[in-house]
Amino acid sequence: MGKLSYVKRAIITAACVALCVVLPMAFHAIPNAGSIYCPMHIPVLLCGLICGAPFGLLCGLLGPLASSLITQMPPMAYLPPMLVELAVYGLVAGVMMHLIKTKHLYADLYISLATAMVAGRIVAGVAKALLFAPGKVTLAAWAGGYFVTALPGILLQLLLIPSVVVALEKAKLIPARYTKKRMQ
Amino acid sequence: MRIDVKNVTYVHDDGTRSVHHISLSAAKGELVGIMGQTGSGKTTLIRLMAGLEKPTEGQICLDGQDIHARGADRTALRKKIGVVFQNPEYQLFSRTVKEDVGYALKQFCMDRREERVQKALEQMGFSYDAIKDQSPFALSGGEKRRVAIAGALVTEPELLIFDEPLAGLDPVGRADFLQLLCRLKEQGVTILMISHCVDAVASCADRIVVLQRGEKAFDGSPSALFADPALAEELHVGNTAAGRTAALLRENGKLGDEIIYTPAQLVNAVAAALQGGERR
Amino acid sequence: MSSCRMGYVERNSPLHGMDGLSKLLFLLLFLTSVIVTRRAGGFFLLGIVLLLCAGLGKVPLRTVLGGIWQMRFFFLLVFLMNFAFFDAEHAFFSWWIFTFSREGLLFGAKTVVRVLLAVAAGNIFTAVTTPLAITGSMETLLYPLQWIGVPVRDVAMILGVAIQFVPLFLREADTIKMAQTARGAPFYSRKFSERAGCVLPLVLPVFLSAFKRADELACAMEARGYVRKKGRLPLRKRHLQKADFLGLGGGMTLCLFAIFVF
Repeated sequence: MGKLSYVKRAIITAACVALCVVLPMAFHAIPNAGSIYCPMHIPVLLCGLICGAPFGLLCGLLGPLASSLITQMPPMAYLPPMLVELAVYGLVAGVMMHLIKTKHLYADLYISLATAMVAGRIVAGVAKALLFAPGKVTLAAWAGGYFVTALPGILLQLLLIPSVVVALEKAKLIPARYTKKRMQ
Repeated sequence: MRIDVKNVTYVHDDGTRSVHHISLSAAKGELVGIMGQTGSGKTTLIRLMAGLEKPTEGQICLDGQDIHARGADRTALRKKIGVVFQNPEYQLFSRTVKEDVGYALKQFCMDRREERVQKALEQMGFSYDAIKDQSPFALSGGEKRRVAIAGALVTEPELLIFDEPLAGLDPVGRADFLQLLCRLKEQGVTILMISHCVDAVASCADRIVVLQRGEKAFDGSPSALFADPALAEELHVGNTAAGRTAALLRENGKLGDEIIYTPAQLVNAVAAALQGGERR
Repeated sequence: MSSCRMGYVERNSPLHGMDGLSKLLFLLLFLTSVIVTRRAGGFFLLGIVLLLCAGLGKVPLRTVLGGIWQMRFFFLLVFLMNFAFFDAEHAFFSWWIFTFSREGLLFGAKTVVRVLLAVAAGNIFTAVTTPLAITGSMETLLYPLQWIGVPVRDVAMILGVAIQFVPLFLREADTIKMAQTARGAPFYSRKFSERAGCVLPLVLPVFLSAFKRADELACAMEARGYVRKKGRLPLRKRHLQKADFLGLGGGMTLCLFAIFVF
């Protein structure tokens, strides 16, 4: 994304950490929406896309930790694989947005999001396998199984997150990634 | 549409009680101003009246029908009620203004969508063709608020509930909004409005209800409230600008004891006092 | 959703009076013991420790066991994954990639018990510690990281601001949900597709409102001359009291017993 000052990136990260606590509670009220949409992933991915890799990584670590400690969502037992998953999301989303510049916002977003989600879910699947059922077969079973069951969430987030980014740009709450001047 | 709140109490999950044995009514075409300090239960009361929360005790009836009775058609009731919460500009989410304003029509499967959206936007002072395809996020704060209010008016509700609609509006915006309220009242829409702005409430409300610590402390006409300045102070409502000016003039012996709380009443009283002085 | 106390149960108890840092340290110690303990006796003792904590904190049993019923399918999955895939020498039944053994059965059961204990411990911790105390303790635990170059002051600032934002955003999200419900958004529809369609009307306004507040705060901070602070994070002012040391010491002893003795 364009020029955001250090303070703005820090405070946006704080807002995203707070949303990691708030969104699961908001989704809790909608039956089954939480398990499909994985609401905690949304602010972490957004933070990585908008503020960059270091802040995305920080949001991915602090968000689920704060949420687990304050609201018990996710429960402590789920926390380690979730920390790993979200940290990878925030980091990879930020790195990809920095590297990919197709001059089309949606293309940049989709490529960065897809890469971050695939990487994060495979790593989380491995972490779950190591934590809950160590063994060669279970490693593949957890990683593959987790990835397949997460597909609806991945697709829904791919639809939702770019809409949020575009709305934030239109509302001038974040600088536009591409303006006519920047594209020349 | 008539709304009756019958001995309603609401207790939150943590045991705190924000509304306690409140009863009030609003007849068709009446504008009721709801006032009170922060934390007096106003927002909880309007959520109950809009059917968004169920009271712990008591009933909320629309045209005599309990909205929480078994078998009550909540969707049909929601169509007839328009609610505008605080900072409604934060509730916009669609790609275009037309889509956002028309959201309720789509949810309630109402017909003549384009016509209703156009009417609602023109009621809020927009040119339909100029605004319909714009992104709501690219509008100014005041425009966003008007679009959000249009979103509540689009279903042509019989009951409108506003929570602090004047907060953050400039003087011209306020005047426009109050004019809109008067027009809607003339069309027979029942309006409930929470506001801290005593001048606005006094100028357009038929009745004022004041809440204190979750209980109803006053329910009557503006003249009954402002006739007793001590009562208005005790209820933390204060006095209108016209009322304060009249009080100053009374202290200097320039005005009589008539009840004054609107600019028009003040002007009439001053004109009468001046005429009386000329005759002498 | 108006549960701004977020899991905290207000009581007057010895556990409520303890410092947040000592409770967080004990939680971490307990979780480590849960992971390391191997024998049934050890798990039993850790269960007793949990019940003691629940008693000392006057935490209702329903709160301690909260969320466990919702996780029943996960427990089943974890148990089966271990029971069916454990690499054991003497399996009592084997077919294709599945190997059912006594070791797998025991490992699966132990894993489920570990998760149960971890969830219950987290529930008790949340019930006796305020969100503010939790974030204060997290900041203190971050303190050593500054010696390896982590910008701990900035992280502490972000955490502090985040926790102040939480009740604000919760109220905002609540209002937005009410407003969209009033416009007919079918949050509680039986059809999943209708419920899925409600997510954008909820999420988008919540993000816009959150980013607006963040923008306003950042501008205010910059206008007031906030600069990225260098240097060490100041040491916390409040120190652990005798009750904290007693609690930590007692808890540590019981956990070590669970690991090594039972």
